[in-house]
Amino acid sequence: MRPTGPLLTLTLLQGVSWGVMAVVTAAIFGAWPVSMATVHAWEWLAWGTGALGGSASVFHMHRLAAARHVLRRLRSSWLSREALSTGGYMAVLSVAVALRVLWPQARGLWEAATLLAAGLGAVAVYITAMLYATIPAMRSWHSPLTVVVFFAAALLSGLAGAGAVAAWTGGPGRGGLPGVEAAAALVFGALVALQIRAFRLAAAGVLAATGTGLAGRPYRLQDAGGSRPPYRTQTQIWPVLPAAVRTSGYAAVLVLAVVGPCLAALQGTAGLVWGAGSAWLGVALSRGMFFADATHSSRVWFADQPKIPSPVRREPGRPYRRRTSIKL
Amino acid sequence: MQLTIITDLNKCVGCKSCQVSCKEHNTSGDFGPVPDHDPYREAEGMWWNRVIGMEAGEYPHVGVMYLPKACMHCYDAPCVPVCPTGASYKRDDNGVVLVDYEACIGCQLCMWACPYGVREFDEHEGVVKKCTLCIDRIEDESLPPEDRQPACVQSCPTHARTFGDLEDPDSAVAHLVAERQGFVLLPELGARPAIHYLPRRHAPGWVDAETIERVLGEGS
Repeated sequence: MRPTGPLLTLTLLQGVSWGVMAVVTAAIFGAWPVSMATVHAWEWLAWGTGALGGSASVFHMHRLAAARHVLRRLRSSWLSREALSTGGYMAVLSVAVALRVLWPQARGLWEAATLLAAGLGAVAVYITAMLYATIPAMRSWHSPLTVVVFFAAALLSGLAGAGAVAAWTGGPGRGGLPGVEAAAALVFGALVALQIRAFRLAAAGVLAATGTGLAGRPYRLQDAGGSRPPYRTQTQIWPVLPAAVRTSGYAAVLVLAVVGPCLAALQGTAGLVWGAGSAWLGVALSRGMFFADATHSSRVWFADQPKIPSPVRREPGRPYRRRTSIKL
Repeated sequence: MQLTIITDLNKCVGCKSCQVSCKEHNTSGDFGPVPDHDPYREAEGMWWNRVIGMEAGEYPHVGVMYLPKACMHCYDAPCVPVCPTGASYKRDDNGVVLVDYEACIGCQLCMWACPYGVREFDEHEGVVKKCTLCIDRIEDESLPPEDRQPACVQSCPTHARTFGDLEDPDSAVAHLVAERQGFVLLPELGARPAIHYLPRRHAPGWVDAETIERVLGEGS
């Protein structure tokens, strides 16, 4: 589908915000020997990115006059739930930041508000991911893998942001972060590899036979009924990415989001800033590919049926046998 | 009651009369317009009913098929529960899926959820629009009864489309589906569309030049 700026900004920055809050939570429980100045800088980063992401979501609505109705379908709509959870997360996070600024001696309250915000942030990321994962027509996204990838992206980008801030604030707040960030990058890379496979299977699983009633026959589209790229009135569809663009896009994701942070980790704290830039670019590009490379079921009426050879072949004098591999 | 349209794929000749009459009626209808904001530079505009033409098979066994495709008014319409504002809804009394433009925020989530790609986004009004089964015609009691049917059904020159109540066992549409193995598109996605199609019969065999000459000779 069409990758739009507000959606990319919302999903990415919401992930960064919660990822940083996860680091703050770990710091509160003593995972890293950090100064309170660094922790508070992390919390400001989480608040800033969360606020920016939440603001971007407003631009995805094309009729703000109806926005007052957005919580009507909490029982069934993940988008309603997303509005509530993201709003709730930002409200509690704002309280935590305000407590630190206005009432610094109330450390217990600040910690409680911060932990509550981190918990709500996890719920918000989960709900955002479920919004995509629960759409059966989006064949590429309709998988639990989508939720796992969203969390992995959030953790990697949050760790990267926290590492850059720690390097900037200096002091003792840097121990262990480069290694953790590299580990998160490797996990993210493995999940992206799984996602590439899932997306190819989804593209091959759009069935011309059930979409047209032309069972078992390859077909070529003569006329899509007036639909042509860039499909301005049908934003669920997006021109199929050329193989070269897809390959180079995913290669760039793996280089930026996996190789970059790992190389940066080898430099220790010196590499935290550029490692963060590399990770953020990689995660952003992966989210762009998440939208641009997705296959919607309606593609069956927008493009020719791909020519996939039969997995069954018969050789003279031998029974049918299944091929060992299928090129997707 | 579940109103529906049954399309006989044997009779559809791809003339696009239904596509054009849909646009003509709904551009001035209660749920319109169906706009073309820049028709001379971008020929594709908004269509609630699109006739798709496809060439099937491989030479020399090739055929052409036309598939009129509009909202399927699904029993389990996936576009309805995902809508955060309740703008998308399915009427209890006749099963028609509609959009309340006043409540639509234009998030387009319903377009992702619809398996059939039949929802259209009007970027100028910021709302999602779709086939209404010409609800403004079929409920207009000022019209004579024979005109209370969707514009696409009324305009079809080959009578390929039949309108009626799928849940009435005595209706023409229920008979057609039962007797002619009416099928739905992408049933594996679980939306349970109300709109059905009648499968094509076997293509006629080869007609050689001699037969053509003979038939033409008989006619003269």
